Amino acid sequence: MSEHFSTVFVSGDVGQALAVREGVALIFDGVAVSEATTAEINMFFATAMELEEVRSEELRSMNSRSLSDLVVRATTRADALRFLLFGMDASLSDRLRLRSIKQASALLAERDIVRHIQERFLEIAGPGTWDVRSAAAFSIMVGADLPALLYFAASDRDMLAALKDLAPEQWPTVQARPLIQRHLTSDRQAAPRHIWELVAECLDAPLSARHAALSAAEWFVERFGGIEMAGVRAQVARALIHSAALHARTGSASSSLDKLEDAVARSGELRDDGLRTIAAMATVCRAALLAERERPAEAVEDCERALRMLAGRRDPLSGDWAATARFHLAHAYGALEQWPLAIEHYDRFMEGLRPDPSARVRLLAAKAIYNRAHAYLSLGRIEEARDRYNEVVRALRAARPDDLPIIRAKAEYNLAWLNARLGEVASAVRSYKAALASCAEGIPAPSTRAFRLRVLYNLGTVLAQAGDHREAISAYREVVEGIRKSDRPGLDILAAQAMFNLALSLEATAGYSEANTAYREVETFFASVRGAARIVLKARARRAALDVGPAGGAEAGQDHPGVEDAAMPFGLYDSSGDEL
Amino acid sequence: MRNALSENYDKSYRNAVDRGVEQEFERLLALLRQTIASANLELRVASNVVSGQAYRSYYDAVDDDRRQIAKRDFHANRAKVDSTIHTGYATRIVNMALSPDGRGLPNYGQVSLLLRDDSVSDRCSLLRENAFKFFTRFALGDIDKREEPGWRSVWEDRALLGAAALEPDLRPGMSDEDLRDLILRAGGSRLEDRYIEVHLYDALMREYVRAFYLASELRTASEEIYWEQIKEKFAQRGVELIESPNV
Repeated sequence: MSEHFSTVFVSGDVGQALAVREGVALIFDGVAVSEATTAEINMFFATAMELEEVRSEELRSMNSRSLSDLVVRATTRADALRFLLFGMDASLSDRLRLRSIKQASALLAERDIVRHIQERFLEIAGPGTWDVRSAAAFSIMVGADLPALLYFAASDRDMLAALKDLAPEQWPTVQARPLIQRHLTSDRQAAPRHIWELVAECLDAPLSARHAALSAAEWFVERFGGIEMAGVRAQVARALIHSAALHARTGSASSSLDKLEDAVARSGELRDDGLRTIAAMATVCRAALLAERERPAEAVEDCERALRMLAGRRDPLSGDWAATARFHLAHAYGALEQWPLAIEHYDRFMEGLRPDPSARVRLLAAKAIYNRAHAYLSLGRIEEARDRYNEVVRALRAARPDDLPIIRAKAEYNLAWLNARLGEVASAVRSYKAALASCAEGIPAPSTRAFRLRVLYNLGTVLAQAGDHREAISAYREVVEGIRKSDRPGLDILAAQAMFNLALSLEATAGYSEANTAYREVETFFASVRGAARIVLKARARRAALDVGPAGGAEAGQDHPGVEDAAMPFGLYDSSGDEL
Repeated sequence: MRNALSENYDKSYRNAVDRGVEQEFERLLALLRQTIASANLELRVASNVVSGQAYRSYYDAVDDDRRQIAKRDFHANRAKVDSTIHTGYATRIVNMALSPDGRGLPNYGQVSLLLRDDSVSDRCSLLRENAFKFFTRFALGDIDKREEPGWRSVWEDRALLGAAALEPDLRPGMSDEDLRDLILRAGGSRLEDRYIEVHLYDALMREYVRAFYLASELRTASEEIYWEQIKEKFAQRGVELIESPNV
């Protein structure tokens, strides 16, 4: 049969198209096609509130399949628009409004649907007749992407002002703030276009869009914190968790803890089974913060409570949070120096991992095997600890997420340290070099750079121990040079040690003049550095020894320093007892 | 016009007596007196109605410039039938069905609305069948053809019209359920639907609805949301949600 259509009308609000092909009228209802009776034709035109006629030039290339696709798209965008309107309808129940916005948000995933709504919504929504603010809040509640939120915001000037007050980094793109400002200063008719430019951008950056929605949580808590409705209370708790997470990122742990205390209190009242995960999330977040604030006993209680709340739940979100709770429980036992319990819970954490955990839990898994090795070490079980660090290195070698190379580097560092302690110098050199390579893969953060210098310094000490002074000199020089380029005063002691050891290795290779200069630099530059007095004294003694030699330099072998005179290598990473 | 209807009714009664189905005729008449107007709407359309948007005829929408004019093939067919059946007021008509017990025509939509008598009694008329069948029955497309008088009625005479129109289908021993099925039968498709058509003048408003139900299963999350919205909106207006008589 020919696929040539002579006439096609599409109606998204009815979810049908009416077409004439070879003189036969057809109804396309979604993907179903049937010959249209006169009554059906009547019904189509009687019920369709919005009709779109397909242009004749488009008809030429149209077939049944493309027409069905067109009907589905038109229906989807009409549904998205209607569900957003439901979300703004204060006469509907909160439950239905939430569900509608969630569904609209899911349907808004396609760019052409967003464009359609851009063109249509103001005409339909109109000013002042809808409960826009609650709708925006609900869109945050259900984790709707930014388009839904902006949809509501665009029709409420005050809400836009509230969004404008958020810090710029809380908006998904650098263009967002000027766009909002332009909206506030431009006439209302022109505004939506700007807003929807932003929406289109957000669609291409879902992570940022989520971040922006997350950022609005504080605003949400402020607006809705006082409402005594079960559904709203639950979502206020969720918003508190989100805002607490943001505070934690900016280093305001105290403020985070206050927010989480509030979140736990609110979520604790929840009876709805589906919301128990939220309560558990708040509890786990609080446990992590308590542990950070050196209150591990309370952290243990919170983690065990969260695990009870999540027991028996099989959804992926609950599974991830149960794993998180188990990790923090093990971590808190470590902080309490109850190492056997820490090992037990790290083991259970590893055994309970789902096949496809979230990125966050994958990172925790990497930390867990690292911390487990540390726990063995703390129990004095050196050989087992070394095996565990080897396990970390093996497990993380193939992994590529951004944060993992630095964990692997730390494991390699500790492995090298243990090997050196066990007298396996060659293995230690290999592991330190592997740690340097891992540092190069990681994010070049200041903390990573500092760690790298520490690795280089320890590498120099084991190379010197192995008698390879030339390579040791190279490592020490890199440390000194690296520290000169940085302005971190905390590294001064490392600089003094590196300079002193450099002088020793220079002396060992008969570079007496250079050694002399290096000793003098230690005396000159580090005399006032706290903790460096001993090294300064040793440098002075070594220089004096060199000065008594003939021609301003010591004879080879005369009063030659041993490796044991060198400044000591740094100890295990996090050897103070802190884990990752 | 009313005289012609009475003549048709009298004739059908005599036929019923002659054929030995007088008792069935009487019971059919009783059921017809209890009939109500029902309209089946798609969820999306029902959602609009319950939100306060009047469900109006195609022509009304055109007049109000709320959508483009549907032209060519469809428009020509439709205008021809409607201008013949509803000469002079075709643009004000909304089509519905006469229901014996609330049952509707799910082929036209998942939501069945049952209308209050007082909201339709002074603004509707009835036709013995679907307008297009009626148009075909009397070959009204021919220039010199006229419809046979007596096959329309006002609301209060709907029982006379129904009895006259359905009498030829009466058979001895028919149960009440058979008779209800005669008044309105939802077929597998719209082509197979059998019903007496109710023509409502002007818009169908949510204020006219006294009860509603879901006539077929919901299939998607979006449909569930529409149905929830319809239920909540009607509940706010005190409109009763009932069990589906179609099941």
